[in-house]
Amino acid sequence: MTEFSLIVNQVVEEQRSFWRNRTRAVFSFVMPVAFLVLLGAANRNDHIHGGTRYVAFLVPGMLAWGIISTTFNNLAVSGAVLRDTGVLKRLRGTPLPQWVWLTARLASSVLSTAAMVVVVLIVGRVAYGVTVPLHTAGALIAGIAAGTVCFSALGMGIVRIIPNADAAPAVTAGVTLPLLFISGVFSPTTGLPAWLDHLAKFFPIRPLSDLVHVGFGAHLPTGSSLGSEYLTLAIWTFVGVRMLRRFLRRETVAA
Amino acid sequence: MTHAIDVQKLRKRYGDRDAVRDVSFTVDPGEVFCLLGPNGAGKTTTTEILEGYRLADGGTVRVLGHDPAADERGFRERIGIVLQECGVQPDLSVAELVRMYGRYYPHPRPVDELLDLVGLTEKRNSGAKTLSGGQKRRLDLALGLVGDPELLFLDEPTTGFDPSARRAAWATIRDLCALGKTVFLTTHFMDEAQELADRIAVIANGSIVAMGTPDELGGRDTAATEIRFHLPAGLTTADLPSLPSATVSAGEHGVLVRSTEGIAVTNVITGWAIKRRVTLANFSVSQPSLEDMYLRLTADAHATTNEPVGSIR
Repeated sequence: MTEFSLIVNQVVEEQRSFWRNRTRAVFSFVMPVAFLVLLGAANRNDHIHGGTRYVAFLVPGMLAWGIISTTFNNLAVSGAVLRDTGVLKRLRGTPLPQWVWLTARLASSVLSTAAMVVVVLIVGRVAYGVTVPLHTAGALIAGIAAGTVCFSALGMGIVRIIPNADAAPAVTAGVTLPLLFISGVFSPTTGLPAWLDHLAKFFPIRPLSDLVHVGFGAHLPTGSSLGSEYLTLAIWTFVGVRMLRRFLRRETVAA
Repeated sequence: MTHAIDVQKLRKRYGDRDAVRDVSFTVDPGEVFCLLGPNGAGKTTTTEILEGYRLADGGTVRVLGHDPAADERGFRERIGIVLQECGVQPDLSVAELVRMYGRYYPHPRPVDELLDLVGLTEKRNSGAKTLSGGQKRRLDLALGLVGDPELLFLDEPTTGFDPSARRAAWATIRDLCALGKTVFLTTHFMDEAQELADRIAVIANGSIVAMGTPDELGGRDTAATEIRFHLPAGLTTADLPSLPSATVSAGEHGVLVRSTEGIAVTNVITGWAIKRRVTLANFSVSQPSLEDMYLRLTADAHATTNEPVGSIR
């Protein structure tokens, strides 16, 4: 069996596991879509600062959250379960190369994310008439790709500091929720005090959210260049990979 | 002949304590070798070094000619590991799991044949999380065998089984031995070691304290035979005929005669009893059991250390 078909088969099993596990599929995939519907319906005719319709802000916001949810939350929770139940140890005892397994995990997370993006785009268009301008479509795809890679790396890496599988949902919610509120996901960042605005920009959610908003044709509120957004995501990707490497060290997995 | 497993002066430290100390043994191809010892004796540490999960601090280890620490794919293709309490992806079915794990190996065994061997054919479409404890262990065995390994590691294969499930598991393991696989078994059950192993190494406190076939372990084959009986009222040990090369002691549990010439001494005693028309109640002749030997060997090891029993993980 070639490495490529091994990866493809492994992605199929990852996807099977993802969709069969209703709790995980619902929490990471359905939640952002459900919030898009609920928040959109509740604030349908509202406008935000600058005269933009709230729903035109909400669609990219929920898309950004959806990316975090299908990559980071899903990989962190399932990774902690695989570790605690001994599946990682079992896999380590087989000839399956670690890079094949990691590639398949990443590819599967990209697939789930792509499915979520498609659903959000359809709901946004059908329910609220929100569309992606052609001239920013490339920027949107690039932003989604960078965010998917960054939050997949962080999701796989953070397992190292999650003490046990039961704590995994609490840890992922604990690190993402506060940041979601200051990162332009649920509400615009224009009203944030300067210190909070600066704080948010240290973490990866804000740059992803900004990139997605730009991908939908928004102008960055503070006028920063996209380079700093990509740089911040790259740094956090590196952090994720470092944590992942330490997590996968031999005796950590065996213990 | 090259050994399937060759371990020389293996050493592993956790903190400032030796979990495994100067452990040496070899296992021949096709042999069922058992590492027997109480919990915390160093069985799992030794096994996990052989499997490549842990790194040794000293000594040399060769498994099928490979250094397990090198973490080679070619090495993993030739071994099968059945670990204690190791889960599987819970949302996949039995057949899906066996097929998936089979893909990792160059020559996987057919799924149906394997499910038949471990008795899970009826459960092939059931989700892994719906299996009972015993069924999970059978799935573990199937996943350990799916790559058709030359060497199979079985870590405490029947811990938590009820007696009939243990018998069934033993029968399955004996079937595997008949396939000519080398099996490295760890257990803390003496009867399991006796039932399955060609050779046993007893490990206690990180060191091997005895090694041999189940019959000869700890000098059991040459140990003194014990003859026990009660004398009728009015007779004492002084009335017994002279018993060469035997020690005789009497207590409230009757008379105990120990001798390395068990057959001859038994013959003298029974001949005397028949001739004198003496009835010897509760007459018995026995060799020390493997359990007696095991308890003596592991107790000695504990006595030579001031660490509390089971303090080594």
